Amino acid sequence: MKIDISDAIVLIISYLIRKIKQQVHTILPMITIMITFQFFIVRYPINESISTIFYLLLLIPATMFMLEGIKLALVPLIESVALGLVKNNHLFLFISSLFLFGISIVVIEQYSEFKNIVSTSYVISLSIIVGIAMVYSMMRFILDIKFKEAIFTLLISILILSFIIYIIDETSLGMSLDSVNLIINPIIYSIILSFGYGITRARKGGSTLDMYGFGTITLIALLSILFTQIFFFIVYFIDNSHLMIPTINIDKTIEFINSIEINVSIISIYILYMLFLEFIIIKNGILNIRDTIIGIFFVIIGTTLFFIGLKYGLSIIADNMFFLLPSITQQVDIMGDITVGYGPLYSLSIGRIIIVSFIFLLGYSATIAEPALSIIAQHTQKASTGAFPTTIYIHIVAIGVGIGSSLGALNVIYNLNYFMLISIPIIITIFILPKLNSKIGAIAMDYASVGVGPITIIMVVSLLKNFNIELDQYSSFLGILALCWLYGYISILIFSYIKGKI
Amino acid sequence: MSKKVYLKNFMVIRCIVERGQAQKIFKSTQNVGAISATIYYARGTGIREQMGLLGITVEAEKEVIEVVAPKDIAEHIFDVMVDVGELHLPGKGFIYMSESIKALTYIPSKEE
Repeated sequence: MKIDISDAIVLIISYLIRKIKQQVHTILPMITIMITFQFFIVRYPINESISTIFYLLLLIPATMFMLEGIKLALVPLIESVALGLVKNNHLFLFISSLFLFGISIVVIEQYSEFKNIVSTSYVISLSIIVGIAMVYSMMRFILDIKFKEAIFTLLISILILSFIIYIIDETSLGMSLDSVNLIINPIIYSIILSFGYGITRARKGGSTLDMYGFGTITLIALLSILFTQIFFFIVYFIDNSHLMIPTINIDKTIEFINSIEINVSIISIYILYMLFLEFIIIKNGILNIRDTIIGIFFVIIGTTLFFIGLKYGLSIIADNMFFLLPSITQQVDIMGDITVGYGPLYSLSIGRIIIVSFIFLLGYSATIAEPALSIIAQHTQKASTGAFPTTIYIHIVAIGVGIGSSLGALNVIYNLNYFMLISIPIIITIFILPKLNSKIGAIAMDYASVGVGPITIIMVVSLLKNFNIELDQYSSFLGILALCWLYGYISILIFSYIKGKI
Repeated sequence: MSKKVYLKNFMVIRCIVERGQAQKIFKSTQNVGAISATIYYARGTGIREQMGLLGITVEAEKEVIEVVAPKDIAEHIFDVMVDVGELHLPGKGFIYMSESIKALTYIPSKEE
């Protein structure tokens, strides 16, 4: 088909405008809140270099490329592989691929932990657990294993273990729950969801929405926590001096977010492996070659730009901006040719209200900017043929994350009972989940599980680190990500419950 | 019990647009007399496969808006849908109108 140059230009421009507009909508709230903070709350002129702002804005094309690449290539490719493996009875390849995929997620994301016997054994055993969880979660689509029962058992176990850990060491409780943020790279969510969707398509007689690949992310997240807590006891009883130190912590997560090469390499390896399965083993030959090539290119470009944007843009801007956070309630020394004292800008009580409200807004807006949520929304739209209200769900999760992060701030200020803060959402989840429509449970929990991603982690951590300097309680922000995630869960579950009743 | 009232002189307008555009187009038709519409998801194929690399600029995911309207206003609704959806531009969608021979739905009586 021959298309005029002028028509081609119109097509390309309208395509780019449409895609960029979608991404600007997701990132704009976060940028607006950051600018408001800088100019109206701390009232200090912004001093970012042009290059840092450029890197921050890279997040817009990055997410655009990622989502488009996922839609064009990744989803059809992985669905086709999953479908082909199940239909052609490649059971060994099916199980071993999933197992290795689970193992590799942990080993690659926690590579820096291979430094002593305790941390190495933690990473290796966690990777095996995640490998098994991946196989189990996918097999449940074939064997029709119910989601709610498994989640129910996991939550009760986590609640009991959390209580015991809290009595032994409160900091370790926060750290063990923070291990929920096992998956950082948003593309991995897409791989998991697409694989699950492909398997459900292979089942005879069709499937319900809850089986369309949903629930795996939540199961893996909860199993990671449970294992980390069990590991805590093992280490504690063998040698209680180690406590939770070797396990997953936020600093390591930030380090992984900053590893651009590793994040791009891991995605490239997964894609190459999928191509190998599709074209050499299964030989389906049903993919659109043009879309696959362009889509893979988009995924790689998008992932690269995304992690560059996070490392050289968002992280730097967030650190520089939130350095002035303590000036709301106390004096901060700004180093330069001459050291200048700045603040306090507000009285202690007003300042604290401002900080907690600001942290809520920041948690909310950072969650909306998470590409993983857009990925899961895209997937849900497809699985439900547009019937699922994805936008509302994204905002509800974001509100939950906002509440969780502001509770984290309140915890730091007023030294609240951390076990109470985490047990309330767990208990509410345990009560609400059985009452929920089975179609919604798995989707809702997956939305909340992916809600706390790299953008939220960078924002919340950099904010609370500066916040902690003020209070001289550096370690007290541990467990904040768990709060974000848990309150994301209950907000979406309560919403789903009320919506089901109306 | 309500009587069966068959409707005649009705037109069916079916408009296929890129996903996310349907609501905006339907709202505009409401302003010119359309009462309701059916919107559903669909997947387009064919043209985008023949367009080479440019094909990726055309979304495969579509929304279909189906509006049933009396003959006297159908033409106007059609034009509004074309304008709001910019259907004269490349890659924006497709619209067609056909005559409905017979239609039926519950119509409340004036006293109700």
